Amino acid sequence: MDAGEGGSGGKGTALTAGNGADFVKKLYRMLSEEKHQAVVRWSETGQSFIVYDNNDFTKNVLPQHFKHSNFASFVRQLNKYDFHKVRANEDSVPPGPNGDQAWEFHHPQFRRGNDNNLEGIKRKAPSQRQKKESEEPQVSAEAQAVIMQLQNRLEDVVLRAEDLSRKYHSSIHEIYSLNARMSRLEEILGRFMRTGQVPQDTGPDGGYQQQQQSHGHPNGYGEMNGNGMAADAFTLSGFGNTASQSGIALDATDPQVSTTFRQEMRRPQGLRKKSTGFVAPRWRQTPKVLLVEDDATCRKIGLKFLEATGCKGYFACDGFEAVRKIQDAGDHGYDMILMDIIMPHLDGVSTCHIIRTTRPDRQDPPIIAMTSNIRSTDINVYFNAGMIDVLPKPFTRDGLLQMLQKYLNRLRDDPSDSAVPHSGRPTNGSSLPPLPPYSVASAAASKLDSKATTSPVLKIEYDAAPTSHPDDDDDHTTNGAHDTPDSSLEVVPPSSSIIAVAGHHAHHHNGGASGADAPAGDYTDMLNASAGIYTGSLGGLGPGPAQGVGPSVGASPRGAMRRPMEAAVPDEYSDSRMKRMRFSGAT
Amino acid sequence: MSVDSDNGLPKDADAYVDIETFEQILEMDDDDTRDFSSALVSGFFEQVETTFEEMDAALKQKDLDKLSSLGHFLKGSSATLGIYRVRDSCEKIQHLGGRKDETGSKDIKEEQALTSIAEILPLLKDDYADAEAWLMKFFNPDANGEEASV
Repeated sequence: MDAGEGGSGGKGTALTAGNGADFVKKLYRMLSEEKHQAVVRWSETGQSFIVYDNNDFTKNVLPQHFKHSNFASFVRQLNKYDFHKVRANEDSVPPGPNGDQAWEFHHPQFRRGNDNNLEGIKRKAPSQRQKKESEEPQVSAEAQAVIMQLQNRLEDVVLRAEDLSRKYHSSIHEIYSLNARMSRLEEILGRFMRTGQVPQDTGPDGGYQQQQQSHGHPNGYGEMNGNGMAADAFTLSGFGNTASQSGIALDATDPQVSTTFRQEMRRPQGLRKKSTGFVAPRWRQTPKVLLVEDDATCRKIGLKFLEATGCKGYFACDGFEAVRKIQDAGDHGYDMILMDIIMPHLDGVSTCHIIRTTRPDRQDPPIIAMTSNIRSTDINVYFNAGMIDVLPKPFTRDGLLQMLQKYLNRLRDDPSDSAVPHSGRPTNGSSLPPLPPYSVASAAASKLDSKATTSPVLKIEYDAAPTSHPDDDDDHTTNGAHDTPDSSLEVVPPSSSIIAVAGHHAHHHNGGASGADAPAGDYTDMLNASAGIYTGSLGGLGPGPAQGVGPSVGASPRGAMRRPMEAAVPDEYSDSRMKRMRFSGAT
Repeated sequence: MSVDSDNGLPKDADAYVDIETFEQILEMDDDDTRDFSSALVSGFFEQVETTFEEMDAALKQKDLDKLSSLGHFLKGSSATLGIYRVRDSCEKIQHLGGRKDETGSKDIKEEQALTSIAEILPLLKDDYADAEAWLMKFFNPDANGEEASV
């Protein structure tokens, strides 16, 4: 073959030419060897060479002549020496055994039978590097140090990259969850704004209620479910409690609960003695209460009241802050939340709804609306958003105290079931919204203001209550019964009787005596009446003795007997043990 | 200032404040100081001044929503302190700003609401000035005149 000539010519010069372009010489020599003809050989013209079967070439030829272990690296080396692949369609490359796998390479000075030109074929790169490339094993120690450094550097970079990528992923994750939270929030707000109501599934017939029922929470909402008066029940429940003590005129149907009216209701209470008999509850565990209020004055006095009742007060200036604080606090957060309704940025109702999306249990924690908007429609909204009660504004220390007693009894050192007969389950008048026991409780609480009777009265209440309460906040099955003693319909007669007995204002008497059959509309009067009691029981400042004792006095031994007893106890009565005996006897 | 022996408040107290509410605030003071209550009241004074300015501006701009919200805001703090005349006027402004009549029961026209607010605002300021003077005197009986600091 032709290759033979070239090969013989080449051997003498090229192979002894010293350093030069070893690669090119090796290449030339390889092409001269006949045994590789089938795999690699000169082209017809002798101006290029063709690798016919690069598999075979890689496997059998390359290892014999070069350090390259694969074809690609061989090709790269060719390129460095300015060899170029001849494109298949440019030249007629005779198909080898594998046809299109043939690779033809060309260099203007690399020709068959002309090994004198070989010296002229140089690497394109500087000779220094060429040396390194071609003689890798002989790299200098200096270079090796550089390589080591680079390798260390590389490792560092890789580690940092991994670290960053981890951080990146967790950030992304965080952003996703924030996004999800955000969109949930927007959805809620959107729904709320469209309908003016919170979504149905959280309404009185929905989730919260069932939840409460499943907790065996006997607070009357469940019972009301059947006749569709749940909202009204809440209304009254909301009112009853604090309204009775602050003397607010309650009217669930009248759209205006004007403060002027309120004012008039409060006026007759006149000047009362500065109450020195206020006793803060003893807490087994200091309740943490979050006050959400945008108004600085209200905030200050609210926090002060909390302090006075032995709580640890926290505050948030708007709904967003509240949501954030509650989320930050996690499961060991607040025991109760007092929520203003009208606030900038995020109002109380939306805030409550957001809180309830993650904490659907109305007791976890109880959220109490603080507002002067106490129309029944307003209160429906509060209820639907997952609030549990209403503290009419301006809220009072006593009102606060009652909320604490009602919902945080489990945290007390001396837990009380308040004035509600514990065993009393609703048995009668199921058509009635349950008049909450607050009228009774509040009357008792109002006694706090009168000097001598304070602690004995409370003491009695406590004695009547079971003293062991599980610590576990989540145990609603057991706690529910104690936390919210507002379930009993039986409360109605007692409070009626109280009104009849202790109400000093003639106009209060109407609502009182009607007992268990009283239609819902009479609650206003009842509550007004119980407000009257408050007045009357304040250190005996009431204008006169009880008049017109109603027929229901005897109907409920507990209510009817107790109230006159308490009312009869003069302020000067100082022997609390004796009084306690008398009270105990009455119950 | 003659003092009612029953509650230690001046006899004319109920012309300015709701006794029960006001007493509750005073009860929050430690011992015989009036630190808490006077600080609270002076904070309220500042709040009122700012709010009045905002109300004037909102009225000028015929911004009923803003007026309603300001009315609500001041209603809350005045109610908390028992300064009931201020509270009642603020409530009216809140309703009027919401394009309702003073009591919040009937819808009214914007023009009408603005006119009513323009009438009420000076009365509100007068009532506040009276209450402020009384409170100043109450918290700082020894000082003369209205410059008394609380």
